Amino acid sequence: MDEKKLIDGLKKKKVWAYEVLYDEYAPRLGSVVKSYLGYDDVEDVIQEVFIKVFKNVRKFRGDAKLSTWLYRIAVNVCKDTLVKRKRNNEFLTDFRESEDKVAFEPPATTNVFREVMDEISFEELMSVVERLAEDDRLLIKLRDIDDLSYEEIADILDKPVGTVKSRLHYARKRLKELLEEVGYIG
Amino acid sequence: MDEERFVRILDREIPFDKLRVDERKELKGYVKAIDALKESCCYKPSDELKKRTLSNVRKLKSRPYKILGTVAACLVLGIFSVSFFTGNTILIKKKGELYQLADVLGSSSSLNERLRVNLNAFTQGEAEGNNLVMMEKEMERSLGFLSESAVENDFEISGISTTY
Repeated sequence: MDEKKLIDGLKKKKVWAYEVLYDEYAPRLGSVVKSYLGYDDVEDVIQEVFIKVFKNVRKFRGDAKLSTWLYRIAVNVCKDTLVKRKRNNEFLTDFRESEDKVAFEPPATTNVFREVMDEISFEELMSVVERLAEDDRLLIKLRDIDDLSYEEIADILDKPVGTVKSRLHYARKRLKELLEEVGYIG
Repeated sequence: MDEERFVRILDREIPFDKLRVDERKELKGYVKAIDALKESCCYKPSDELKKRTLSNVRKLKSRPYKILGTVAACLVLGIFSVSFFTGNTILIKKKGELYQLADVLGSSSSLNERLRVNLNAFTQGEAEGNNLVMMEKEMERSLGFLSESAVENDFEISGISTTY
């Protein structure tokens, strides 16, 4: 659907527009939330995001893409959730616990991905990935998985592009070091 | 592989087929980790969540109308109450033989009227001295009077005048 028409519908508080928005963006938003928070709270965060969209869509001027704006809301809600979670002394979700609940995407398409997937077990890699900080995981997810530009990521995180680049550099380096520690990268 | 080159490869500035064998090997582990992260983050929202989310949206949409309805109902109730209490009076007359006799003779209303006038005169005179204190006293007196049982005071309700 045309994004402009969708935004008009959202601003006029049409339920069909929210249905379209849900169908189109809920999986992507859920994916970002999962990379940041783990499996817990994903549904709550998505509902909260939609409530925030409903309340604030009139403020959306269309300077950024709708998806960028939605990602930004989702990230902010995630941050709030994380603060609440830490305040309540909750533990971060174990990625392994959620594994059986995860609906997997179709297998990776490139040959390289298929090749490497045969060699290393998913569980072993997840134990490495979950050792990354939430912010690092999110940056890697947005850049290396969702393939967003540095500018879009900067918009989402409300940080300068330079900061995003340096933080992503650090996140990738950290992941590489963790993989080296366990011997996946020599 | 140095950091700069690694980042450039990940940013797809250097095509995969132009990598050296050792670089490809190093990249494999990283790509594998990314792929694992991708799979773990994959999310398919349930129909139940969709229903709940859209139900929340509908609730938010109807909230202003609900508030408006409540305010209108309160307003109508308020107007009704004000008009009821301004349009209705409770007639109180003094007990006693003289007044009962006056009732029989049909002149009790004038006696009660005189009593009311006297009471007003008294209230106005006192109010000149200290309005606030007098009002409080008058209010206390009235409340006390109303809370007393019919046997204990000299007044009785003789009728209710209502426009309803």
